[in-house]
Amino acid sequence: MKIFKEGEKSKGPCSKCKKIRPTTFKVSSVPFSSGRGIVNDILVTVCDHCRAVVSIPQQSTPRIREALNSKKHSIEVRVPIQLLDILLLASDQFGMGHPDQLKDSLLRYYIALAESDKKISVELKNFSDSEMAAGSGQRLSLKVNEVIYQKFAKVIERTKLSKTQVIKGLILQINEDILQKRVKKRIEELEKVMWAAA
Amino acid sequence: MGFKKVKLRIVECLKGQRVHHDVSRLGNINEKNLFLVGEISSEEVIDLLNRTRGHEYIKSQHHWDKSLEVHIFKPRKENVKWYIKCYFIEPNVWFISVHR
Repeated sequence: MKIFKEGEKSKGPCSKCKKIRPTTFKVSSVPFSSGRGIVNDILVTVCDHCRAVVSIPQQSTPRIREALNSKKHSIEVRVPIQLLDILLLASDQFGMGHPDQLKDSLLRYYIALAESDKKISVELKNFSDSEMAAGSGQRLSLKVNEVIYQKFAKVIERTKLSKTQVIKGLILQINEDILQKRVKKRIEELEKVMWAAA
Repeated sequence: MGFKKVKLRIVECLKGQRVHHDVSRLGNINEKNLFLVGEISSEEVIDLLNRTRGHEYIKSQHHWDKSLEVHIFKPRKENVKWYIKCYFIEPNVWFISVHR
């Protein structure tokens, strides 16, 4: 896989000169065409003749994506205390400490899982209607990026549940997988995620 | 280069990350290019290219450099029509846009 380096030479079509020109890879800050902001310090090629930005290599895409997704959303719901306890207990199963911090990663993982796995989406309704899900004494606030927020919105759309019902359903799915049935495959996969999040 | 060879060459460039993206006329990031902004991955672009049939592909000329042959693919995936526009300045592929 090719990784371009700062200072490397190339060539490309400079739209300012309207010619194929020799170019050099440089670090530059480039605005979005919509005017919604600027991405700082990405690798681009610049025209050796007029210094205009000619192209952006694919390796700069993660930085652009990060700049686009830096906006955080907050998912705010009220749940009964037993559901918060389930989240903390499940997070504590991984023996990494800080269950309060890890519970957010656990929930984000399950949002992504529910979006990709239709079976889990179906289960959410049953879980959210269960006796265990009844109540609303505690506030739960989850910060997510744009990508996770869009996945959450898709789960809501697919299940026709409210955001509170979806979160309650996800917590009870976590209860089922991690505390009750102890699904080995899921726990092993989550362990890696939790180490990354710890 | 014919349709099949063009597709193969683009896939080779994608796998080797020999990929450039055009900037807008003002030198800005073109957000409509979903590949540039990371909304779709190289693997997804390869999948779209593999879905493209001969009648969904045309060639044209670059708007100011007539020596550059521009390749346009218009595949369909899950009832969504995609548009992929690119050209080669060897050894790299240059994407003008990948959008729905």
